[in-house]
Amino acid sequence: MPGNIIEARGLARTYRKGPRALAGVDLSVPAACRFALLGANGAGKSTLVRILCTLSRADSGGASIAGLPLSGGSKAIRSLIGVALQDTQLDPAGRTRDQLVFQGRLYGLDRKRALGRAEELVGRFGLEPVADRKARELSGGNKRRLHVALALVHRPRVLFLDEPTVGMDPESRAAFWAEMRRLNAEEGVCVFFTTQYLEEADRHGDELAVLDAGLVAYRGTVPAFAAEHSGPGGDLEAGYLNFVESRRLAAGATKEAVHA
Amino acid sequence: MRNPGLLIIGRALKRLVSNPAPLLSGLGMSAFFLVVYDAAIGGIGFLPEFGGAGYMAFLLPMGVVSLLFASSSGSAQALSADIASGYFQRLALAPVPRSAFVLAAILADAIGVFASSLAVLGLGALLGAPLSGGLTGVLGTAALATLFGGGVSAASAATVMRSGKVELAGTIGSAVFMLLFLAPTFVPRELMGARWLQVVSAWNPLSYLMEAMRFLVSGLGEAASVPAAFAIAGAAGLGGTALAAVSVRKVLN
Repeated sequence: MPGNIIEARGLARTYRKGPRALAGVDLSVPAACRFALLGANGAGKSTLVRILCTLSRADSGGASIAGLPLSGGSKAIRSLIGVALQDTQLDPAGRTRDQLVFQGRLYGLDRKRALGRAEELVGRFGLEPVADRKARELSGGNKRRLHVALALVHRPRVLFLDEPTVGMDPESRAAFWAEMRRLNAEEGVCVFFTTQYLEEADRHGDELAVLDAGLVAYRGTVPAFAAEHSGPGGDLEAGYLNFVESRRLAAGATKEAVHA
Repeated sequence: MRNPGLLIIGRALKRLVSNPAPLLSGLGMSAFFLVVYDAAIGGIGFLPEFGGAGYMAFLLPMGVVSLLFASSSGSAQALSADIASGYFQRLALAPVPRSAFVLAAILADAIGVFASSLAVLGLGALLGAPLSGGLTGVLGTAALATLFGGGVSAASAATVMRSGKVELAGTIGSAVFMLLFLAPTFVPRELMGARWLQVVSAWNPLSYLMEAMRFLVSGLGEAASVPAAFAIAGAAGLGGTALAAVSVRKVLN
């Protein structure tokens, strides 16, 4: 559909010697949207992100980013997306600034532009005091900031964030979300994030999908979901818990088992 | 340097320089073997089967090949460090062919083996090998070691990527080390005491590699061994590299 930057149809993936992670995911995400992907542990969120960012392959189904199919244009897609997965992906022996410069040059920036972009991101993410430190010497919070900054070096159109604020202190978390808001509002970046912190989805998501057992169980806007499942004026957390409970009950579980 | 390929190779070479342990241990082992074996059995070099150039001329290819035991595990170690830290996934998200990161690490190992081979040949000259093949012989020998070493390095990298176990990085090098003892390493084939060892050495690819190096460096043996050795080393290099390139998918999927 025009206006959607991410389109997925029937994505399925079963791990060898493991569970079925995705059972046929259909999903559309509008451009310049802040999109929250929710679901319990094991619901398939990380697998979906890995497939959409070309790190894993689906067993069946297909998807496209900005109209480019994953099956054929993965190199072109990789220049359009920025990715910060759940675990930080840093070169432990690389210095903060050097890693940003190397990342920029890997995406085709010349040395001068890569250095300029690195300085900009060092400032934006408050990494000045550790710009010349090796990643292995950074605190957990600074590692995570660098991790996200690396995903932004090449000015991606879509940013995939898998549980991006795990391990961040409240101040860093607020600064992080302020930056995501700015990127979305000023640069039109689509921010696609998974989270277990429902208040983050509530405050920083425009639209959401809930994955359950490898399928999209709900797709809509954040306010609509909250209103539908927790009543008028209800918050997302209450709505999500009601939604999960109703799904479990519909699947045949007893109320006691759900609450256990 | 806009070319990402050069950028990636540059990173691999920097890592080789910052972690020279595999290269240095290969060099140390080669030097040790050359000195000790020459001291222990160098006296047999007067026999006509050794070609009259002295035992060090005969033994020198062993020093070059034994480099590969340790020197070719650098790429596997570097890749496994990137995989363990998660950085390999970040590299894999860049818009460049993913195999480039593996090939660059193998190339860095091959460059290291080339330089180490020259150092071992220089040491051999200091210890009395005549190097009568001149510069062509020295470069030809280093080229053979580089091709074969590239194959060993690539196979080691493929082993680590497929198994996910860094401790297996040295298995291919260990296999090369064992093959060294089943080849005409210390004495020519005709002086091997056991018939079975002569048969095994005829099937051992290292036999041809060392006989060619011997011809190139000191003019010992027959010229026909040289094309056979280049064919073997080239096949090892290409085969290993192809295997490593397709193994990248194992790391990600």
